[in-house]
Amino acid sequence: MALVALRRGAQLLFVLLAVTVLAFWMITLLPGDPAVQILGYGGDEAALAKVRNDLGLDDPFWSRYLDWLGGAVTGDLGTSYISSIPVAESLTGRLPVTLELLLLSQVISLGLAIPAGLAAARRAGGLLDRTLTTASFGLLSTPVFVSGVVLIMIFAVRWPLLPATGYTPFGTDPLENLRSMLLPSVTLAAGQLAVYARLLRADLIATLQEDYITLARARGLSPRRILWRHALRPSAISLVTVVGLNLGALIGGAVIIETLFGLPGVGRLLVEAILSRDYLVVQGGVLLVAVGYVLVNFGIDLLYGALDPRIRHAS
Amino acid sequence: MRPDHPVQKRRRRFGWGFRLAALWIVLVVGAALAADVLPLPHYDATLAGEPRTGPSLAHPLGTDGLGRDMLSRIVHGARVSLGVGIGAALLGLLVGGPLGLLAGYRRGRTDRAIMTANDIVLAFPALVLALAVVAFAGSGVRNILLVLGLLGAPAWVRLIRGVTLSYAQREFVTAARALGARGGTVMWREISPNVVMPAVSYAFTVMAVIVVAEGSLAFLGLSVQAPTPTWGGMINEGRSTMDTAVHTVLAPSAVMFLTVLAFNLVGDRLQEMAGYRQSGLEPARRKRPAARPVLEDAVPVAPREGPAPLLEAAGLRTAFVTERGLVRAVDGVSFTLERGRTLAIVGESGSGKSMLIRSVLGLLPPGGVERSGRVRLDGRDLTDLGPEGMREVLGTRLAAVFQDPMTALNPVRTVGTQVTEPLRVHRGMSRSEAYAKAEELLASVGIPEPRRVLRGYPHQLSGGMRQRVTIAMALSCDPEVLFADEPTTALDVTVQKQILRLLHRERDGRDMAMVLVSHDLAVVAEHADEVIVMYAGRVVERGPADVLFTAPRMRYTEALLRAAPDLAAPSHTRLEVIDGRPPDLADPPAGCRFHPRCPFARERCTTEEPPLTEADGRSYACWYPAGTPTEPADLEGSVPHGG
Repeated sequence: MALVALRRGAQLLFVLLAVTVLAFWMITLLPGDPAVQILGYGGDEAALAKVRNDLGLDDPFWSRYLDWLGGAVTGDLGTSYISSIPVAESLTGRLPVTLELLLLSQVISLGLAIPAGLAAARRAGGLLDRTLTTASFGLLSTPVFVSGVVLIMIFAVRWPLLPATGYTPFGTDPLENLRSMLLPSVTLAAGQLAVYARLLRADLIATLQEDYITLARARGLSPRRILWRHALRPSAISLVTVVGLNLGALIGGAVIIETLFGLPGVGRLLVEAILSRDYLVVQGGVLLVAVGYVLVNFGIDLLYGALDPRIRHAS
Repeated sequence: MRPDHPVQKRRRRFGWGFRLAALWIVLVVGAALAADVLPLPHYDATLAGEPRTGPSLAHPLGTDGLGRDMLSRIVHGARVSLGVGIGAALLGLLVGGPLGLLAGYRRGRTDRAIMTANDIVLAFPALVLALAVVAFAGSGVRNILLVLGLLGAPAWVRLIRGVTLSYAQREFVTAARALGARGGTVMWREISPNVVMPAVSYAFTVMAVIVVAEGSLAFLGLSVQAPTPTWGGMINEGRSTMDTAVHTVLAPSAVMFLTVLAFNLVGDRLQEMAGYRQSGLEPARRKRPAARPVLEDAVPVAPREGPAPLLEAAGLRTAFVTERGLVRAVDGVSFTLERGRTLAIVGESGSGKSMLIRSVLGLLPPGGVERSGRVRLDGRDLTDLGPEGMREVLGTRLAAVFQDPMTALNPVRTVGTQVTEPLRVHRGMSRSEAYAKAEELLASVGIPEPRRVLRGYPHQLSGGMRQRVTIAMALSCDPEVLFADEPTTALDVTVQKQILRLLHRERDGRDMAMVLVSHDLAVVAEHADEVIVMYAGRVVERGPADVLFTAPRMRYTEALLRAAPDLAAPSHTRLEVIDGRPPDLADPPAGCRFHPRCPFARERCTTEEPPLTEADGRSYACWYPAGTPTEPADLEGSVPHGG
């Protein structure tokens, strides 16, 4: 058991290191001279040389990488040349918005997808199943910027019930905060809801063919009980996997949604940084996202054991 | 006997949804290709009409904020969307496909290396990467296509690897390898054709994803730059005018939605073509139940005189509605059973034994199944009970044990949760009461350390122990009839005997009745009081076990006995096998269903079906039964057999 944990830990460390190398290396791959990109073409040679020196651009790759990694581990990702704000500070300032969006959207989408998937699988091929399948197909095929714009049109322009854009911090006004997060969360949840429901339905249908389900019926248990208590958990592995992938991907913020609804999240920060060629912020942001993704998926791996005791005992 | 009603073949076609989707894709692709020759205003000609006017004859989709023709802009925008979508999907396949094939075929170290690299690449936020590359390297169609294509490659690797893995172990591939085909050849000739179908269907899904991704870039102003129109860019521009001119947002949104939907639909339907049967927990409610062929109710059964038997089946029929017609798995079976007795149902596999049990219990697979006839418990008709009424009987008065204890227990719930569940649901016991009773039950079926077993999971137990657990569960609410469907077939020989003895002991101790399905005649001879022999869904012989086994009448019973070890007296006797196979239940032979395999079959057997006739407390369905004066068959009348 301890050996397994050790091996898993080593594996995790390896992937994390690889991810940091890639994140660092990628930025140096981008075309053009970063110093020129930062200062613009008008800059004089002395200023360019200073930036190059500051960024360590003249040093060999590995020494620059180790410097950067050393800083990153201690929470120092450098200071932006554009805004003069430490990169780590901008990132941690934006993270709560993104995390709230992520949490709300998953609560909404899972809260609807699980009952929908169960109801559809209960009578597969029935009217409800076909209706839900069609609806989820429609949702699946709607790009978030389309559904977001349509929702704004309905709930902010036609009937001004909710703010179209803007963000109120939770600490300032919890109610207003929820109002400002509602449309973005629903928009984000809509597409995922469809994916989750379809996935769960398909796995449930497979589970419902199992002998132990027939025997549960033979014991006179109600369909509701069989679905929720007997079939749901053995059918949840793919769902959990995909939720994990989504969570990991969303740590980078839902770029489009944050832009559309004017939310100051990590995604917006990254877009702004990219557009203003703020290298260090892009680099730090990509690192944050990639590490977050790896960690979330590591956590999901551990969760499999909780879902299925056979996996737990095998390791 | 053929189905009485011509059954419509279930059509396995594309359906109208698929056709509309394909039509839409053709239309959009066609429009994009012909964009320059279509009689439309130039896409960037401002003031081609009054700005922000809705659809009109001159401008079918209206004009935008600058008075440009929306239709023309959408048609030209399609070039970017579809060009990138199709191009990037192909690029991803080109890069990811070979890697996936390699990983799936070679497995081992190659596979691990490729998949680890793949996972690392997947950890990077695709859209952010795309944004960065496009922002720094320039936003031409070529760059966008390259970035989106390469970012899609890891998903391709995963898909192709998965499909390859499943094929690399099939017989034809192993055979090709054994014949000395080289790795590359096998991969190319044997595996890649089978990967084509999943790849094509996935390509459509990927195109949908890429059209959305390109749209997202365009929405952020990072796709192909003005004046070239893009769908995402149009939606973004339309936002500023959406309060006065809704169509500036709706038109490009609708086109984009329909295109993505069409790609998704086509991809999904192609994937389904590989198709698997879908059924849920309960049958789907149909709008017109009468539209399907309905099984005729068997001979009206008159109520019996005297006290009702404990369990009685009368004219029970069960048939599956399939593409090939009605498959009659149970075809008019009747029996009665009293307390403290064991009824055995024997026959080859596929003779309808298990289906008979499921039919009695009302546990048929949902969808496409018809049942008719009567099942009475203490004179009360169970077939009239709704699902809720049936649930009150199941588990409490009727209980079941199935063949394979490995699949009979839920792998993710503790043994305790599962054993106590019926007690809590049906008996309303508290948690602690139920656990106390469960411990007692497990001990009574011979499980050592019941308390520890209750806390554990099924996979921690051996097959024999698991079967004891399922028996304990079945017995928990003191049922009156226990249905045991091949309860020992999946077990070791030594364990088999113990389990059968346990069942026998419980039957006697509880004064309950038992229905024992088995193809093991030795088991049946030892434990059953009465025997039903089934062939092709019908009862062909029925009688007390001792009589039936010593002097079978029906030729099939006789053949079964000759094929069974142990029973045929001296151990050096040669075992006989029954030639041929059980008939196709969708199209059973005319006359006696056994005649194609029966060495004694004569002319009459091929045309007239023998009725189940009763004589001396037993019944059989045979024109020329064994052990009767007709025995010395005059071979002139016999027909060639062997089906």
